[in-house]
Amino acid sequence: MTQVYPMVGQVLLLSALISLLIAKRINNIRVRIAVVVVFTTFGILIPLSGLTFAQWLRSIIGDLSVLTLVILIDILMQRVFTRMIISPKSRKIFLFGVVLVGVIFYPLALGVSNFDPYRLGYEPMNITAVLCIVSIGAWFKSKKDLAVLLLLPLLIFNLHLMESYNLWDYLLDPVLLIYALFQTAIVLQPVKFKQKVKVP
Amino acid sequence: MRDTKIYSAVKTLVYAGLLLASMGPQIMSFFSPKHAPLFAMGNVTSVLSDFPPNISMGYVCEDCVAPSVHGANIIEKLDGGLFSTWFGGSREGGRDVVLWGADYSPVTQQWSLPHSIVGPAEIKAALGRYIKTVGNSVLVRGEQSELSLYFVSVSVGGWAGSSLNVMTSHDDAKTWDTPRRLVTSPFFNVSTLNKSAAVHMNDGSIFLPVYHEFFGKFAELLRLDNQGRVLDKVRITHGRHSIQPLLLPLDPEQALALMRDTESNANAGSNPGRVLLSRSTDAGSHWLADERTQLPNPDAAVAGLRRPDGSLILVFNDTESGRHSLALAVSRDQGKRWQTVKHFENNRDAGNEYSYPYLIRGINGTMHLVYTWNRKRIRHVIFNDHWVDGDTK
Repeated sequence: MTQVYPMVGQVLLLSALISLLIAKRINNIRVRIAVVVVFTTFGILIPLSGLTFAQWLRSIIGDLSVLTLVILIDILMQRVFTRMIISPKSRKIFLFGVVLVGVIFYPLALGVSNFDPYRLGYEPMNITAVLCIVSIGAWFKSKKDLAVLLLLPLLIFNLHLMESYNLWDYLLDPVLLIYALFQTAIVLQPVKFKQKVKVP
Repeated sequence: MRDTKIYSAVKTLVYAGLLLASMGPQIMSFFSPKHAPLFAMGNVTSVLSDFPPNISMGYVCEDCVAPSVHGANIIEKLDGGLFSTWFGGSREGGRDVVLWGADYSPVTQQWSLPHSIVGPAEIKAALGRYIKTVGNSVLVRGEQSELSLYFVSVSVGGWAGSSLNVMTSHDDAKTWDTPRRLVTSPFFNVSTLNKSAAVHMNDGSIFLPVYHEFFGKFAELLRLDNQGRVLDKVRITHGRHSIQPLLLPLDPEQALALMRDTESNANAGSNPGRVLLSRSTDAGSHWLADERTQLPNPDAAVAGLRRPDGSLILVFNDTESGRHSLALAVSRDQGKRWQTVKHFENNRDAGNEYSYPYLIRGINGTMHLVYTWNRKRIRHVIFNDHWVDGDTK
C-alpha cells in the first residue's frame, strides 16, 4: 500500500504542473482534460534512461505530504474544471499556517538548536491534539473545508499509507512550504502596495 | 428546512467520525503502557585470561577488485566466521561504486574473494528512483538472527544528499532481500548517514548512530525496531562541528557518544581538532552538551567498544592533521581520561591514509578491527585483551 500513495502523488503533481502550464492557453475544458491526461500518462509511463519523468521528479523531491496532495487536487480542479475544493478564505488561512509552522519547523529540524521538532512526529500525541483542537475550532467557525483538511493527514498517518512513520511527513514538505511562501507573498503584496499609495 | 437540518446533522456526524478515526489510535497509544528501553548490556564476554597477548594483521582484501575502497564494517556470523562490507569503485562518490562483501572462514581463517552485494542499478530498480552512488554501510544482527545491512545512497549532490536504506538477509549474508528506503529527514529525506555500530536495547529495538551534514553537521541516533521501522530520532549535538557518533553504553542507562570533529582542519594550529564527547544518563533519550576530550582528531572517524571489565577502548587517528597514524587508547574512568597504548599504523610517508576504523568484539572475546588502508585495501586486525593491556595493567 505504501507504493500506491507515491504513485498517486506523482500523478497529481504532474497533472497539476501541466494544468498550470495550459490553463491560460486552452479555454475548452474538454481539451484541457485531454491534454492533462495525455501528458500525465506520458509522464508516468514513458521511461527516460530507465525511469519515468514522474520517477525522476520523485528522486529529487521525494514523496509529497497529504496536505500537498490536497493543494494539488485544488490546483487541478481550479485550472482544469474551474472549480474549488477549498474556499479562498480557508485556503489563505491554511497557507498562512503552513508558512508560520514551516519557517519555524525547518530550521529547527535541520539542526539550528538541540530541539528537534521532527522527533515529535514519531509519537505524535501532542501534534494530534493540536490539529484536532484547531480542526474543531475551524468547524465551529464554519470553515468546514479547513476542519476536514486538517484531519486528513492524521487519517492517512493512522492507515500508514506513506513510507514514513513520522506524522510531520504527512503534514508538511518543502514543496508545500515553497508554494505557501509564494502564495502568501502574492496575497500580501497588494496590501503593501495600497499602504504605500496611501502615504502622502 | 427539515432537509437542511438533516443534511447538517449528517455532515456533523461524518465529521465526528473523521475526528474519531484521526485521533483514536493516538489516544489508545497514549494510554497503553510504555517503558523507555534501556541499553541491553548482556552477552559481554569476559577477558580471556588464559590467552597470551596476541595480534594478527591481515587484509579483508588485498586485491579489492575496485581501485578505491572505503567505509568497511564487520560482523560475526552465526558459524563463528566473519562478514565484512565496504564500498568501492573508481573513486569515492563515483557512479560505478557498489557495496562489496567478503566472508571470513573460521576453518581456513581466510577471507573469500570480494563479491558485489548491491549497487546503484539494483537500488534504482527496487526503489524506482535515480541512485547516483552508495556509501557507508553498517551490519546489524537482529532478534531473529537475521542480518540487516543499513547503507547510504545518494540521488542528488554529494554525501550531504544521502538517504538511508536497509536490506535484510535471512541466511547469514548469502542472499539479500530487495533494498528499502528509510524516511529519516523532513527535508526531501536527505542527509542521514551512518558509520558506527548499532547498539541493542532491551526491548529488541536498536539505536543506529547517524549524522547529518547538509545545513548543519551534527550527530543523531535513530531508534529502529527489528522490522527496520523508525521509532524515534534523538539529537546528540547540533550546529556544524560533529559527525559520525560512536555510541558506547556504560550501563543500562548511561552512555557516551564520541564524535569526529569536523572543525579541526579549519582551525588547525589555534584550535586543533579533538575527539568530541557527549553523555546521556537516560539510555540515550537526551544528551548533554558535547565537550572536547584530550584525544586529537584530524576530522576523522573513530571506532571503539566497552570491554567486560568496564574499560573503554577507542581506535582513532592520533594526529591533528592527516590520517597516517592509527592508534588505540584506553579509558578506565568512563571516558574522562584516555591513555594511548598501541599503534596499528604510523607511517608519515606522504599520502598514507589509515582511516574509518570499525571495531567489534567476537563471542570469544577476540576483537576484530577493519579499516581503510590507503584507499586501496581493507585491513583486518585481530587482537585480544592481553595485547591491549600489556602495557597498561
